[in-house]
Amino acid sequence: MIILCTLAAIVFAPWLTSYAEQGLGAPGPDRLLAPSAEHVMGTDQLGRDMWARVLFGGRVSVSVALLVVLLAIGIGVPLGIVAGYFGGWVDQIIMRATDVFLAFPPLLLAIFMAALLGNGFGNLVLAIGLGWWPWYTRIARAQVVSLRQRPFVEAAQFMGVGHTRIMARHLAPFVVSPVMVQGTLDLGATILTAAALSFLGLGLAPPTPDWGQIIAEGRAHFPARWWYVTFPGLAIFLVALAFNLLGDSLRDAQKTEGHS
Amino acid sequence: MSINLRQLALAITAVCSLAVGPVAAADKNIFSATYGQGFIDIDPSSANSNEIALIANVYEPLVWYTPGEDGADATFSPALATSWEVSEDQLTWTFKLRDGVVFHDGTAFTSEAVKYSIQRTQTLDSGSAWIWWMVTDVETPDPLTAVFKLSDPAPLDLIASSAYAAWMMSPSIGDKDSAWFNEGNAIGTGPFKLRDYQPGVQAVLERNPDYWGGAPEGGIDIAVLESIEDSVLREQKLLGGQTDWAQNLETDNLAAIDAADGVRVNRAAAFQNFFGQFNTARPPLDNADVRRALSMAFPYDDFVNNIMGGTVTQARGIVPLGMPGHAADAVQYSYDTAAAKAALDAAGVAEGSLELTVTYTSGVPEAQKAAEVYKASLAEIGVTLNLEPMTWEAQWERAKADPAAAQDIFMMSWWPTYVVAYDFLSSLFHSSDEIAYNLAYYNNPDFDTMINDANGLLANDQAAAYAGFASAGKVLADDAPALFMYDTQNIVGINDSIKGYSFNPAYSGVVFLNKLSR
Repeated sequence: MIILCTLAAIVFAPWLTSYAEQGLGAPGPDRLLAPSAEHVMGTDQLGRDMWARVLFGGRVSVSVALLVVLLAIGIGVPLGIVAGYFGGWVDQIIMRATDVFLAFPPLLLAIFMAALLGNGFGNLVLAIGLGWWPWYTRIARAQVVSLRQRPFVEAAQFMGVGHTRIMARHLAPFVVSPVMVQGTLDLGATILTAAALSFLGLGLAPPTPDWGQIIAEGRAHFPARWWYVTFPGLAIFLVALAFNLLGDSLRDAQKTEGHS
Repeated sequence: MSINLRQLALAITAVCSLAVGPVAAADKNIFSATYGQGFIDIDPSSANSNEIALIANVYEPLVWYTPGEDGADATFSPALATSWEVSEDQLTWTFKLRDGVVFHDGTAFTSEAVKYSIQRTQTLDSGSAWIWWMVTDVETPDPLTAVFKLSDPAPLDLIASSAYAAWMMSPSIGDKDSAWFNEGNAIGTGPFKLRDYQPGVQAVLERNPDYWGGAPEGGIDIAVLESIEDSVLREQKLLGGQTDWAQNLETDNLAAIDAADGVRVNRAAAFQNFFGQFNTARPPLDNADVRRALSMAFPYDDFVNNIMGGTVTQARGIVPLGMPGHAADAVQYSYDTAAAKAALDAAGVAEGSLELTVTYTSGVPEAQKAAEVYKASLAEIGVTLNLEPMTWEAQWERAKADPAAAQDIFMMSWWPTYVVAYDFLSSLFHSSDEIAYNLAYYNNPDFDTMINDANGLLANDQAAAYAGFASAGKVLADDAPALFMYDTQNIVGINDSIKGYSFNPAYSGVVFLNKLSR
């Protein structure tokens, strides 16, 4: 429910505020106003409507999260299937590489990458996504290893079906469900990581609205102007929580289905 | 992946714990000052930034610069020189030195120390060593007389009062290099000795009991100069009584700080400004008409009075108001998007075709506000501005590398080496083969000639020199190689228990510790 509301709010952001331009960065006339009927979440240090900033910030945060997870799946899953299917030295190389990546704390790795790449939307996605894929490699590999010896795989091999085709047509479908669950759970975590990077000044270039960055600006105004950090903070909390809940319910649903 | 949440929490805890560091400001004789930027190089010959906060208390120059009150002319007051005179031909300056002064290691201060200090600085030829370019030799006829021989006439009393490269150090230092100083060594004559030094973090100074000038009643015994980059933490330390003095506070919070118990805000005129140099090496910014149009697209009034809350004033040219040589009749651009758009059209820049990049130092709140506001107002005239915040080192390296690939607008702040308009005009806009701070890549031979001629007059005819600087400043403002945004004040928060604090605009960021008492 929260997810649906959030997504709707994000998609229809321009119609939910009369300050769409301020949401995208144009300064407004009245600075640091407390929440009122006109500005339900108050205004920021350049007089921009906070509700508009938070709404448009949601667009950025959710699209970063989606792209990061897609990127991580795009890199991680094929590697995991290959490792699981071939086994042997291919498996060794791929899994040791994932071990190396997993040995770094994810936020630290993201900070390194972001500092190297610089500010920007694409760079932020890359910085987080390039440290996130090993989780998907592990999931996909575990799934494929358990299927590799099944009769239908061996049958396909006997009939002369190519490796690529077996992996893509016969094994990949079994990976979809656990990856979906993990991906949904990760959306919440990537939103938090993206916010943390932006908070540290490693996210998007201003004036792009960005929850982490708004909170970083707002620190200077807390507690006298409490709305500055509170509302973007609440937005992060709600959206991360919503994705976690959605992931949990997907996982429960998957468990009752059982493995095929 | 709950580990992310935990690490974020850990990071925040770590940051917060910095706020309650172990500085015991409660003790009667300990003074603590908190800066926004760390000290990097404390070699008095080469230091070129806010390290003077430390250096000006440990070392002394021959002459101090004292700004005139209410528009009066500045005066020079004796420091290690008690009197000085210049020869008829302006090429020989004789300084009589203070008797009975000793360095922190017991070495006597004599003319040999003057000769040593000047020659060490000249040999090292780093930072602001250029201020001595006309000095060919320092002679030492007797221990208390130092004679400077010049190749060209120059106002040596003014130069000797420089905030950089004019500090007297002990000949016992010998041929030690900058690394030796930066290990935490210092041998000066000043009222404080360096006791402990951690580059970029803090310096601890203790009173020099043998100081020739004595100490005020209730004077400071130990001073801790620390740096904290985060303005929120500086503010919290000041309000919590953990530091006695803090600079670069958030503009929007100044009223609240002033109203808080036990703390006051001190404002003083400064020779400092904030501007954005246009890349004049690249089309269409090589066209002065385009630069003038862009200069009309910054909302000066709104920014100065509203966003900066009246703490700054709109600049008029590059030399700040109040400094000798300021161009009072230079053009001051006003915000007019219609005129700006018309000027762009006339210059052949089609609407929507111009995309510019501005670089500024991340973590400087005013710079980000200025850049965001400028982006919005440029959008109104169909110009796209991309913001690229980065560290100062990255910003400067990129700008120096290749003008063709560099930024379009370089935002920064400037204050003078010594109080002369030439420093603003020349350091920032004199053409040069090797780029240092002329990040507008401005190349105007007529302008170069004007400022060099004016500077040549400084020794003989100050009024003519200042008039020359003013007319060069007028030419510069008209040519608009930079967006002249605003002149700043020096604004610091200070604990009410501290008496005797005053700001000298010639020595930006310095707290003169021997004038303080509690």
